[in-house]
Amino acid sequence: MELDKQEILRYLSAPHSNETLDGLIDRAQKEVASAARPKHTYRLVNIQVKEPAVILGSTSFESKSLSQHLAGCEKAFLFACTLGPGVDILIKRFTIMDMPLVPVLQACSAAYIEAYADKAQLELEDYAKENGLYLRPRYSPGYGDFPLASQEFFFSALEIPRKLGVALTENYLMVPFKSITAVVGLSPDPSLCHIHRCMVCQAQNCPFRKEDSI
Amino acid sequence: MNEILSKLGKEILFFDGAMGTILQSKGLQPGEAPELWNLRRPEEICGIHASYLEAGAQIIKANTFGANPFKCKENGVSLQEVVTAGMRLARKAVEQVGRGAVALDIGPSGKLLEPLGDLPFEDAISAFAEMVKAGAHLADCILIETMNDLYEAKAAVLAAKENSSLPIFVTMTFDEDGKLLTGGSLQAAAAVLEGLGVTAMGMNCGLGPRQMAGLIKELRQYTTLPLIVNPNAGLPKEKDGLTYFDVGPEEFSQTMEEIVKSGACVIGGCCGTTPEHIRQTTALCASLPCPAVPAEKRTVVASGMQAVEFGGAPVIIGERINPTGKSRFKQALRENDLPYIMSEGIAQQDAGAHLLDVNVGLPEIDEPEMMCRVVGELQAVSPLPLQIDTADPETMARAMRMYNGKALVNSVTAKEASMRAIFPLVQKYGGVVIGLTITEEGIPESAEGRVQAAKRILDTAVEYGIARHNIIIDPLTMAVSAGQDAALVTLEALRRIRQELGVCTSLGISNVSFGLPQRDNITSAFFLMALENGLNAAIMNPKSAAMMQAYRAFCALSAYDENCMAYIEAYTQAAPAVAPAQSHSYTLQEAIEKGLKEAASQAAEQLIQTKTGLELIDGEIVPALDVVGQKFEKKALFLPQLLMSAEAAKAAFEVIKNHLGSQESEQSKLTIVIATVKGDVHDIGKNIVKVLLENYGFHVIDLGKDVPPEAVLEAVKKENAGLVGLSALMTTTVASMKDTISLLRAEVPQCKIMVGGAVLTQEYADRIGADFYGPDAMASVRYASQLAESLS
Repeated sequence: MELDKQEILRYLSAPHSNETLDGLIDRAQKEVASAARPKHTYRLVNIQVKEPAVILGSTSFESKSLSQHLAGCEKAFLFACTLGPGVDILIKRFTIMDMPLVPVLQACSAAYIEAYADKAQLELEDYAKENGLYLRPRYSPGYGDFPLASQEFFFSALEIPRKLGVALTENYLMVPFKSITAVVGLSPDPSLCHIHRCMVCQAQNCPFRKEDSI
Repeated sequence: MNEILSKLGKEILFFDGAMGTILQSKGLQPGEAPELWNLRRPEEICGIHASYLEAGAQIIKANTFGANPFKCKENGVSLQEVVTAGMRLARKAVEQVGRGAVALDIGPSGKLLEPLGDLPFEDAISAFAEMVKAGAHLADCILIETMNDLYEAKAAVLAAKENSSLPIFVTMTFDEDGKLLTGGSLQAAAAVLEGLGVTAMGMNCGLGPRQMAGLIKELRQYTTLPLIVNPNAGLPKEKDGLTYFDVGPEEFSQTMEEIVKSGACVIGGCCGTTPEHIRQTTALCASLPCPAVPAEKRTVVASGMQAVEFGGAPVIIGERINPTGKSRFKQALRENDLPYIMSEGIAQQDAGAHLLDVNVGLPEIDEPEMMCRVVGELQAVSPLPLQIDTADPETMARAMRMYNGKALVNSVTAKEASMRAIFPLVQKYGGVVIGLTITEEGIPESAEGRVQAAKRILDTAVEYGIARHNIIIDPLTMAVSAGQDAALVTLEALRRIRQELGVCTSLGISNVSFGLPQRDNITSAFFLMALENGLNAAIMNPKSAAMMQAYRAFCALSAYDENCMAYIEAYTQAAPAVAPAQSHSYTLQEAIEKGLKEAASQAAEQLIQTKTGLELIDGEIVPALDVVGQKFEKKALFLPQLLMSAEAAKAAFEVIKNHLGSQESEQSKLTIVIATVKGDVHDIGKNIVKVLLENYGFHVIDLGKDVPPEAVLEAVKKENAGLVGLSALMTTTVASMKDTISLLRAEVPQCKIMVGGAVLTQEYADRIGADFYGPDAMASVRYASQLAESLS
């Protein structure tokens, strides 16, 4: 899978690359690609949006930001993907043997899973097109005021442990780390569907925020 | 035993089909737990069981799959109540129909085990034990199913074994490549489960019958256990955004017939299957004969990832994780320096080892505790199976229990006491055990004596229920410098054990050259002679070029290396070592600035001949690190390069340390305790900060991840630390950062606290009362340096 080099550099907080970094990124990309065994799953649910609440299937969530994000949608996909435990093991291994590569592996695997999620999402895109609908950007537990504890719902509804081998820790963190859960709204109106995921986030001073994506 | 189950392996037996997907069609909501219907809609559950029994199923899975303590807590219900209700409903259906056996159904916990996840192995056993205790008295057997992690499966099997005497069936979920989600292989699963003594094993879910038909042929070769196959009704398909399965009853049953012929003798269905699938399957397969099991028994050990088989290409067991004669290793054990021990393991893996020997025996440490820590960490970074090497039965017992796999056990002797201590462990946990030909009288001097000792070990093993193929005999390598025919006796014993007893053999090779100069000459020659006499495994140093040359050449010459590919791969690129010319032209300062480890080490070696360690540090290393730090802050170079320079500086520090052999190089004016706070398991950022701080000369105590406030306080007091660094990645775990700070403020007010992590900001750090917020790794180094200066 082709990864976006600018994205990788952004994760490394590097505004530009140099020869050394280029070499490290090449190496890290190969390591990540061979360690990753990406998998995804999704499920269509009916939703009801009544700001500040959203009902996904039959479960209600209090979240102003999510209800705004899903305004106008009547259906949504619950979506999850992971790169698998191999990438966690890879990073552990390099933490012991070759620390300088670790932040680069971290950046490459972050870029990898975003790229994988985008690719996997094409299947959802097909469904949307056939039904004259548009996909909203992915919205994950922990964004805005969408509580991280909502992870439990995604894990049950999508049977994530069984299908993807991903588990939740007591504090709702996902292991393996390189995993994504998200809700993707389906809307008859394309107008809210091109906003970059960064710009709906409340974290105005986040170093990863993309300036040019409005 | 239940009448139906007593026919296991003699007749084809039938499981029922899906429960969850049928409940979905009856209105189970997304996210609603199927086992809750035991309480909410019991008549539906009982009705589904009955319809399967009427369709011909003989063993029904009670609706208890997800009723583990974690799920029950999440759903706010009593485990006891849900499991008992589920078991009763299954029993009721059996009563109604008049026949059938009931399986207590145990699915995965939904948690990931330590150290990759946060569930301790013993807690996993306890969790599954709760289910067993709640349901076993109403069950005819226990089905542990849909497992995608061998380690978790082992926990569930131990829970079942320790809390019931029921037959234990285990089915795991593989992908089309025959891999578990964790990456574990079919052969590893077979070795581990057979070792644990389960009644039958196999696969369920994930795949349809078509895909499983191919895998079952392969699995049949690896085990003599009865095989269970419960496929989905095909691979999942998507329509209108929903998952469905489209292999109908007719096609399903026809493929199941093939699966029986390929080796399965207990069959049924998983997701998407219906009573009609089972009806047609029983009609077609009930009269088929049970397939034959393989006669040949294999000597196999496994990690949670992969299996290693003895008897084919010789197996290399890396010997370097062992303190004997290694002062650096002893120091690592005393100082709890796990990363050093891990690096020894990974380096051997990279050098070509197939297994890693683990020996951490040192009089002054807690050996069982250290062994379990090392085994736990190693099995999380290396896929190689481990050889647990200890003379202490307590250490052996604890390590074999928590090991993720089927271990190679080093070792028993032919002494009664040794066998009495070790064989019951192998019987319970599984394993291949190395038998040393040592008797109560000592090491027999003759080959005949050693063959007799080997016989005694094999005969005694059988009495403990341990099969012959799970024993490897080591006829002992003696130093040739101490006895002229020492090597010849060993070789003769080796040959005879292979020929007369037919079991696999191993030797610790290196001992042969003890007391001689240029030991590799003798060791590698003896290695070749032993291989030629039938040696199956060698405990040796895979980092020795001479030994690996002998090994690879032997494999190429003995038809173990197809087209000499492994040999070619190992030696084609190894052009004669030309020292990189430019490395000599760098000064130490330049080498560090450029992040060149080797060059920094070489430059330091040269300088230390004429200068003191302190001159090197103040004149070269510190200025270089300063330049690098400034460039990083100006974004002229980036984090990976900063770390490269730090590692180069570390290489130079090592040279100084080795040269002085004293504390003169010790820079630390400040001891720093660092930790990822409780509840958070992300430790990459913390590890980066640690490496930087260390390489800037600070004494760093790393407490790891998920560290409770009390543990931080204890370390601060014990180490008299002047600074604490705390990391948290998620907003949810910043709360526990705040708790940690409050505790430290109350108990050790003089200690400074710095914080960092993705979600933190200066504002946030101020609010929770930190002294300093580090937006990046370098900032924490700057702060620590200032603090150290103000203290001195």
